[in-house]
Amino acid sequence: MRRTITINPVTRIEGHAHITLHLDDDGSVADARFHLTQFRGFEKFCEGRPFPEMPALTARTCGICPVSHLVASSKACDELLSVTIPDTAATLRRIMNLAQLVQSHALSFFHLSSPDLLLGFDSDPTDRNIFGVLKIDPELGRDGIRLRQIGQSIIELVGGKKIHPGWIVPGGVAEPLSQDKREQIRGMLPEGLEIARRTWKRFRGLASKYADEAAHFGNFPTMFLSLVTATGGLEHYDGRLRIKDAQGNILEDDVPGDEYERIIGEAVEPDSFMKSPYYRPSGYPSGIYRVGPLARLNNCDACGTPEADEALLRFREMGRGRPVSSSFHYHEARLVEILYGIERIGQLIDDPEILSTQVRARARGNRHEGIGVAEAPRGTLIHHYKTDEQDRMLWMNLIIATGHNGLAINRAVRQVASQFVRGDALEEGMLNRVEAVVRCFDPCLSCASHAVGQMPLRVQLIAADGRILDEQVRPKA
Amino acid sequence: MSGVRKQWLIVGLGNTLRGDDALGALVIRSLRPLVDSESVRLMECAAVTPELAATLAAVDLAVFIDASQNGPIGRIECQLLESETGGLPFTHGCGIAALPELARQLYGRAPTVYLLTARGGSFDLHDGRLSPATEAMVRPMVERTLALLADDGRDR
Repeated sequence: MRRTITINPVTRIEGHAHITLHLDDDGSVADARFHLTQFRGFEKFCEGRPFPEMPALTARTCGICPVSHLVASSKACDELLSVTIPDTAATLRRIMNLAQLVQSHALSFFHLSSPDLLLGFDSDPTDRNIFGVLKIDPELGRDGIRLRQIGQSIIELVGGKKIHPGWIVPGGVAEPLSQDKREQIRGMLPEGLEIARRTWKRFRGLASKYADEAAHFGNFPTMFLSLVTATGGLEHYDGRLRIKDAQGNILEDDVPGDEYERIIGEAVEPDSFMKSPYYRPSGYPSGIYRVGPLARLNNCDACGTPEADEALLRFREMGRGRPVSSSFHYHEARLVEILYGIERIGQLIDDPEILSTQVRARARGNRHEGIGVAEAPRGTLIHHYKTDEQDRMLWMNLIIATGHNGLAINRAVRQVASQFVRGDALEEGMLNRVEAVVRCFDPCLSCASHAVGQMPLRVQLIAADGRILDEQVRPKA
Repeated sequence: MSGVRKQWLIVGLGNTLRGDDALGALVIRSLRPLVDSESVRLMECAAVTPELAATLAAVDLAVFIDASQNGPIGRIECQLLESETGGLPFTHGCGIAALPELARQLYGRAPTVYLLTARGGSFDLHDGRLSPATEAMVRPMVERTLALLADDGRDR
């Protein structure tokens, strides 16, 4: 008798989704699916609006990574204006983008994933939260909060607001940086770097405790997509697209963002509002690839900052000459990128032109198609716009970082479920592992930053005739 | 009496685009000209985040102001927040009641925390404007907040 287990909602991720596990007669996992159940509709309701509104409108896609949408959208609008933005504006945008990378990665590691990593996947779920972490490691809790504060403070200093700053605009940025703010940013970086260093060192020790999870948490060969610099370095703001295969061979390189449609196709699954992009030459679904920190570190030749490059070398030891394949190592990749982000902000803030007041190029619409590509914390983000003669939006396509990972998330859930789930005995630890593999990707499923209160986890074991054979609800009443 | 000034934190919670959910933010804006910025920190927050624990640990008294979906119409509910620790499925937000305990565990101290709420009528999309009934609660909310600060000031 074929049965289905539903995990709804998945906890400790941004947004709302559920997982279904389909079991065979013998209780083995036959299939697993990750469903995004929200519908947003940005592509439709932006139609008809003036394109300069797009950065502010599309930033509302997300309350965690609005800066990523501001960056990608403004880059698409720069193309519609047909302008090259001032160098200082690009540098300031980079600083804000990296500050967001730092705060978002800190959120994922410290707040969402550290309970699993420090307390264990089989620990009591009533303790497996931030308070449980604080009991055994209060310094980690303080570090997480402080690192987030540093990232958000930098965003606020350059952009005026922590969330949804309207400072990145088509043609550049709205205001130059003041000397006072520059010094404030400089002053925060040493503490941020010390926290990043300390956390990276501590986590490298933890990862060895979870060899079984590392072996089965989305550990399979895929391609990897990311931006890299002209010299192959780690890149988050500009650059060209690169795709590597699981053996480390470069399949695509130096691809301008404008040509993304040549290499990326988009499929739609019937049971999810998340699109499933794939590498077009390999077809669907064979063209599965991953994006985000794991992909960026696998694809780049170097980070370009001293401590991050040292950490990258250690990270790559896990791949033994090939790209690191386990999605479990997204966690460590995030910590390496936090190191990089803080070091790189330090380099950029010292740019002698950083206080220049020439930060915006002004023009009317000069083209009717624009594409902006940037690296969001979770991966490559693409905004593609078409406008009419009155500069109103005719058409929009957004490919969100989490969407790129859609096929890989499904496969990772299936792998973990096959390894840890036995349908005749629903145990907390095995279900948590199914959720935890999703957290490795740090999916950002909405702009919902208003959670949470009590967010229950309901798991049902349902017979083919609809009868509920077993049910677990978390937290227990 | 010590010469050290007490530090107070007032946080207006809510989304200013969602009708009466803007109540907290509008109370904060009304308070701004009435308080001494040396001793009172005013904040508008769309959501409660863990980072607030650090801010909380640095003050003697905190007052959160929010619109509620329940409760009596036209009356302010004042709640002294008790610590909450168990079973919190932590995401990027957290409950207000969890903040004092978070501050205590992380930073070794937590202030007295009050939550002032008044029932809102409509939380539909609306840009910073309140319904008349909720608008009428702004002034009483301001006065109640100032009264809490005055009481705490007398305690020192």
